[in-house]
Amino acid sequence: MSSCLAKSINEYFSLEGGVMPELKSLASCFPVADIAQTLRWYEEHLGFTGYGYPPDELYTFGIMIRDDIEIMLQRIGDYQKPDLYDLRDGGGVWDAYIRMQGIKEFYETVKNQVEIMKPLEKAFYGAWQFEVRDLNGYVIVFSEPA
Amino acid sequence: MDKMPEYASIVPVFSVADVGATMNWYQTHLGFASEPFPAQEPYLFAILFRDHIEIMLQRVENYQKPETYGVRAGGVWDAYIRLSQVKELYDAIKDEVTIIKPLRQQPYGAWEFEVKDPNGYVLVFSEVNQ
Repeated sequence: MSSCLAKSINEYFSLEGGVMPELKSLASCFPVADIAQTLRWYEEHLGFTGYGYPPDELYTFGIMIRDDIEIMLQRIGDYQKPDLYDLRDGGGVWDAYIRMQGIKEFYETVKNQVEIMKPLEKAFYGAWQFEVRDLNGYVIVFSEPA
Repeated sequence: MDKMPEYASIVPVFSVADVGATMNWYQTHLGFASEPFPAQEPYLFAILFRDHIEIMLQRVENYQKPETYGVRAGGVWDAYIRLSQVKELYDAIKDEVTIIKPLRQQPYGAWEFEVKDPNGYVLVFSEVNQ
């Protein structure tokens, strides 16, 4: 944990001058045992386009892209994601939260194809959302502001 | 006819034992603002945000993230963040945070460094030079 004496990044840039770097985008990264199978699942059910590396061998890395978002996959041979879903009071434990538009149409197209942890409903903070568990056990929330 | 479904952004969600301490670390070292829920401690949830990116925290009591970094050649990451001026960010934080891999150029061209946050989540900061 940080100590109280640590210099904050805002202090650093105000003392040293210079432009605060801009954080442009973020990709979630999931360790998985089988990258090729994961790419196929995301392509088939969630409309991603996937790329595996190295291209001609057993993939050790993958990138999946759709619209403005990216998910990266890293291979761990016999990886099994721990199931944390029920460890939290008052709601499940999530791995990624995807903001989107057109969630009602999207829910209709995926609800009979994938494992739905929570059906489409309006959360108390106003967003429409539903929860999917992927083939490796990652819990993904899809959300659209009401 | 409603809008065509379109994904707008992805937010990684980290399970942590102490949401407030994690918020402070991200504020101090990486300049993230935060919106916790509820408004008073102990927080159950928080959204951290800066520029174009967000990270969510969910409180899981006594949670300890399993250590997986060494299980894969090349490390195991939790979030990959693209930015401008990666060298400036590196210089600003390298003596204040746990650096897993120092700033270096990868074979695929990106300049990257890796930070471990106080809960063990590994963040990669990356810039592709023109």
